[in-house]
Amino acid sequence: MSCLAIVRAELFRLTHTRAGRLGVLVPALLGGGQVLVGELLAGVKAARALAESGAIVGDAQVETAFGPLADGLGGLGAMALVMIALLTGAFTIVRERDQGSLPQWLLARSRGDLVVGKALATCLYVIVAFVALFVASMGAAALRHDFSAIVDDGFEMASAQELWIEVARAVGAGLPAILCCACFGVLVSAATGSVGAAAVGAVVPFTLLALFQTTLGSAAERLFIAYAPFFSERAPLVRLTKVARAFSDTHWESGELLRAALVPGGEAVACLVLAWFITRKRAA
Amino acid sequence: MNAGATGQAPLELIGVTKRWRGGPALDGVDLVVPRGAVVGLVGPSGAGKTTLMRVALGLLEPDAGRASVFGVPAAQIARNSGRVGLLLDGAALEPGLTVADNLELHAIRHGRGGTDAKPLLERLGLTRLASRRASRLSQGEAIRVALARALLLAPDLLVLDEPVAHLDPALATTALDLFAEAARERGTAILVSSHQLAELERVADRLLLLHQGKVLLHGDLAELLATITPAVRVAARPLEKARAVLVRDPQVRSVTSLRVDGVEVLRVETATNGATAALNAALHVAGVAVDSIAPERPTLEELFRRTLGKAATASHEAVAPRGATG
Repeated sequence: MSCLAIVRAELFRLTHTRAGRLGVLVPALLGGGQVLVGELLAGVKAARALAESGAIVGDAQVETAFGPLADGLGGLGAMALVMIALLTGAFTIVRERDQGSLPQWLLARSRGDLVVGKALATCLYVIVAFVALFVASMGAAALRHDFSAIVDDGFEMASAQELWIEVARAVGAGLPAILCCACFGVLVSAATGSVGAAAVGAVVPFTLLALFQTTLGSAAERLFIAYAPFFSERAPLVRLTKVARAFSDTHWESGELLRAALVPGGEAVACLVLAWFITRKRAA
Repeated sequence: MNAGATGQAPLELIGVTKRWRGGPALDGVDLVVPRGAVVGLVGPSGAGKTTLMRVALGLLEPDAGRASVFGVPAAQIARNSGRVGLLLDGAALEPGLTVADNLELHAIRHGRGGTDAKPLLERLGLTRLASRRASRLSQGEAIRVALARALLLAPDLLVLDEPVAHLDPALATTALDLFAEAARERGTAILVSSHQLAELERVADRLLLLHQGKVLLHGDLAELLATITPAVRVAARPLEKARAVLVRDPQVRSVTSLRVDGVEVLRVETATNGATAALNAALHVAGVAVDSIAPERPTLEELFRRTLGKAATASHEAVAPRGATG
């Protein structure tokens, strides 16, 4: 595929610039940091309770590393990753137009290859950033806890294997929404004329919809935004924080994970088709 | 495969018209850039030079006519990936990447990562800047990097918009020598626009002069320069007597005064080339002391000035009768 050269070039750019490296590090630092701060606060709380009543706080007895890992995956780091996916996508074409380098790309590959290649590279970059977030969260979570079964009053509520499967299911269902954020960004990038307009065009509508999605009712279920870990209770990565602690009132609903994967997946393809159409029609 | 092997002209425009809202940017432009030729594209600002380049490379769609690159429609120029070097819209470098990485990015884009850029960096005096970020380069340095990028993959066609505008004279000469060398040794076809006509004249062997989107001149540069009325410059004493003698001479078409380095001299347009000796003799016979007399070399600048002057006169004459009747 000729768009592979575009993917390689774009990844080269992202990995050789400070901003590109920072984009991978920031979610990981935020996610890992959030886990560490959470652990620190839990430790302080437990110590205070121990000092006041001489009893160990109940939660501390059942907490495994899966809970903090989920906090890291669905918290601040994930929100930062969503923003990075949106903005990296939003800048990918328009910045070339802005700095006059778009003709250099169009001399190398067709417009269709450019859109697909840039979108693929952005998605790969987001996946790498997510892996970094996962590793950082996992490392921070493993500092105080083991990835072991959740046992309450001698009863094993969930085995370690079951919990790893839940994590994998949440990641599998939650990642498409983040990748769709990148594809939405690419669409905005193709449609706008300046980097500033692209940033506003991607972030403002996304944030407003994320904040007010409850007012959309069931219609929100048909938007990828509902499944992105950004002010959303529906997002699998956010729901994982409860599932990974085996809370009694939390379980995946029928078809929930499939919907979380398919809705953003379809919308990502639609965004790229639109971006391709716009890029084909626009002068370079 | 090179252009010579396929028999296709590296760049060809036939009847290309492009209109903006304000009027035509290009009006029926024909242009062929053959293999090994350096075509100078000149014209006043807003003449349509950059638009022509963009249409030629398929970056803009023409309203009429067609453009092709190595026989392929310009809209599908990516099929010639790596065969076209470009400098358009300034340096257009990736600001966060170093100079060396910018060149590597270009090579990767064309599927030729790992291309050795060192000889070019050395030639353009960029070796010490190889690890400097593009955002920290001066305008002249950035243009040099962009030139290195354009030349990196040894392209068969170079399209360069104002390549020496921000370079000092020594570097401009180096850059132009590189273009000329590419054309001479590798048969690279070059389309280059510039307002620095003296520099352009040194390397171009063909010329296209655009004015308000229309082609005013197109052809072999030497032949076009030969069409300029021959002239001789005379510094003599007394100047008024010299003028009187020259005006009466049958070979002389016109005599005008010029000030060169603070000295007033006469510019004498003659009917034929090689009239210098005869004019010198006539002045001596009339008792005029001739300090210097030399034929004026026809220049691209002169050709440019005269052609645009004629175009302005023609357009003024075309408008005047309408004004009179209105």
